[in-house]
Amino acid sequence: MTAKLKLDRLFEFKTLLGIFSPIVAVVMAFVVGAIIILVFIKSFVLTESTFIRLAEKGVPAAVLESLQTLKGQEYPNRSAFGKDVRAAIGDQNYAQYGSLIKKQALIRENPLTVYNAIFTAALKDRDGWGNVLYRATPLIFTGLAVALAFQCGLFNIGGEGQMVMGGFAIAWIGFTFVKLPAFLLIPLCIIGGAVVGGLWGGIPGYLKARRGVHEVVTTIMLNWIAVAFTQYLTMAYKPEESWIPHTFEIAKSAQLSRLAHYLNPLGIDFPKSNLVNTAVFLAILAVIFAAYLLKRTKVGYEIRSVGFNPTAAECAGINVAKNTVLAMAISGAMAGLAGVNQVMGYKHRFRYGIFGGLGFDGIGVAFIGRNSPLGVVLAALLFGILDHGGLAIDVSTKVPREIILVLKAVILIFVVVSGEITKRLIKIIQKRQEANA
Amino acid sequence: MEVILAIMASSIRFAIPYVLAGLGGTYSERSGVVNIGLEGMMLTGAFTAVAVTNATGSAWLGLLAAIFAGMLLGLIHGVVCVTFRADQIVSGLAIIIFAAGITVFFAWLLYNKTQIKAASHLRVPLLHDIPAFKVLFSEIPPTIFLTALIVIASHFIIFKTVFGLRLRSVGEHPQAADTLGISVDRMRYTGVIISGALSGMAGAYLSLEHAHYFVKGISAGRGFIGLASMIFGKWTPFGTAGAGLLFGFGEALKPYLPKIVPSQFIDMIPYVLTIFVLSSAVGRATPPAAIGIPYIKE
Repeated sequence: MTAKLKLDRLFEFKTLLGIFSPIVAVVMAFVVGAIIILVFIKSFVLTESTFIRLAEKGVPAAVLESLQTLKGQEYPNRSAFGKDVRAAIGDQNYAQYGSLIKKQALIRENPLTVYNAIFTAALKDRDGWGNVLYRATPLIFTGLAVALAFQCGLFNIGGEGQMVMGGFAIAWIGFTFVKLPAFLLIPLCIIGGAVVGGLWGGIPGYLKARRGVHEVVTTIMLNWIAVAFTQYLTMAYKPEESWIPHTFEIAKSAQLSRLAHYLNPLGIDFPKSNLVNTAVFLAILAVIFAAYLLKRTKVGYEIRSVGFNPTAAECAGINVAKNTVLAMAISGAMAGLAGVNQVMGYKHRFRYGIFGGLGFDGIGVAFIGRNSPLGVVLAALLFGILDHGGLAIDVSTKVPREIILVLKAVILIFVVVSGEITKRLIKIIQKRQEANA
Repeated sequence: MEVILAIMASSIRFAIPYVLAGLGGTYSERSGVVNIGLEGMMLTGAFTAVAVTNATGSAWLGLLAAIFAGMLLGLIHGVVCVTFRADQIVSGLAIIIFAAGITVFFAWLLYNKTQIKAASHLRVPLLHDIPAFKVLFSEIPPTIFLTALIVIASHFIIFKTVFGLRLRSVGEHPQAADTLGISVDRMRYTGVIISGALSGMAGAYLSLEHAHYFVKGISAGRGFIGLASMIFGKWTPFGTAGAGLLFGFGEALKPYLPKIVPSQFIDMIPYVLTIFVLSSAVGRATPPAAIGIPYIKE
């Protein structure tokens, strides 16, 4: 009885830490981001208040007078500012007051302003929320892909390749079977994307199961093969007159409508330009499917058993090879569906540029979501907020939007590190409990 | 004849980043740490090289800085994978994403654009002034000789020295190495940091010698071809160099091929060959035994 109680408590502790470690990782990433912003984003500008402060510090009025010419000008780096100040006030004064003037003129960007800009742009109104959903939708698919494979103990970093293969299949069906009505063409496109993505994901599964090749290497290689192959196909199906490397446009009947199309007639004010489309419902279905598959079906049970301990699973009569291929195929199918949002919901054509990186972001999403379907949704929303909100900081602050990529990378590192620390903590507690018992 | 020479020369030029990154991967993976972050280390090296070259006026300082930047990322990879024993693939991926972000971040910040011309190139100081050598060194980047030297040196370091034996033993059977008093962690750190240095150098070559500028995402998957070279070369320096040259040859052949052969199919060759050697029954490539597994000292 007591042993069971302790086990229960341990489990609770584990879940608790499991929830906390991604949060800790996100917070840590924002701290690192803040440090980067504080250290590197600076400018030099002489404003009215700088002059007052300089006068208070004892800078003679004559010097301040000659500085007036530089008033209001912004300098991104110290040396350019120093040069102009030296020219304005003369070498002698510069030697005496130069460093003081530079110190007073220095303006740093407040990281909180930057973060505030990100979250405000993403969450302030329906338009922001809609775009966050639009950006989270493909990440849910690619994140689920990684999470599902991970439940089987497989690391599928081939989401990128499975996604573009599936995405091309969707576009190809969409611009080839133009005569079909929407109720046939849309499901056909979706199934096509899933099947092609699944086949592409099945290859590394097969190579792992039958030839013992580690899936990480094969999926990396297959990513690049897929990118090159779809680039070739794109050129083959490119409209003659177009100078952009994209395919023909898919049929009107294969295009998904934006949510504004349904929300506006209901009297809900929603901008027509907002990109969120009905693919978001497919993403929700995919999440439910993944959760149901893993927890409520025989297939899911077998996949998880193989992931937990392949030897034990084999002994219990579970076909490890079959489940390895199956898990990779389902995973690939999920990644293949990302094209539903990108092609059917957004560009209506295939173009590699609309996919670039979503497959890799899916890995981050899965790990931050601790490889559970619900976690994937939350992590995808976080990435959606960062991606959409990141567009705003270019406009409103001096911070380049690439800080978002840095934040994502740091989150990823801290998630795996804090996960490891959690594991060690649990082990220590387990040992203590055993010692006590 | 001239065409053949031109193809040969450009094969070598294309091969250098593959060979250097592949060698980097070899050091890291021989010690038991997977490093898919080569791509990111290369990209960071490419940016650092141009930034430091433009700031100091010396391309050699740029090269040194690129090596240093690569080592720094290698150190981070080491801390995450060796000390914290976290997932090596995720850490490598994080390094790639980080590099893609931080290089463009600083490009905007320092230059307000994402394509930055390199102010100076690598020149061999004394030899360059001798007329007889001048032609040689202006036609062929000095990095080529450096790379050849590193390939040969790596062969001796990995297979003929005590350090190399320890490096390999840590990657094959860390427990056994540990019982013999070899510090597994230290060897792995060394392996990963060397891989960072070589990838950073590959990046410096790319921006200073190959393209003469840095541009957003200049590495463009070359780190992964380096990884493929390493696997195709079966984790040996000479093998890696041979594979890198082969892949470079494919790249060099592109402009001379008839139109019916799409260039994208040439792009696929390294990856297809890699999958093939990993899964074929004959001449199969087997990675170091303890690769990807963090070592926990009991």
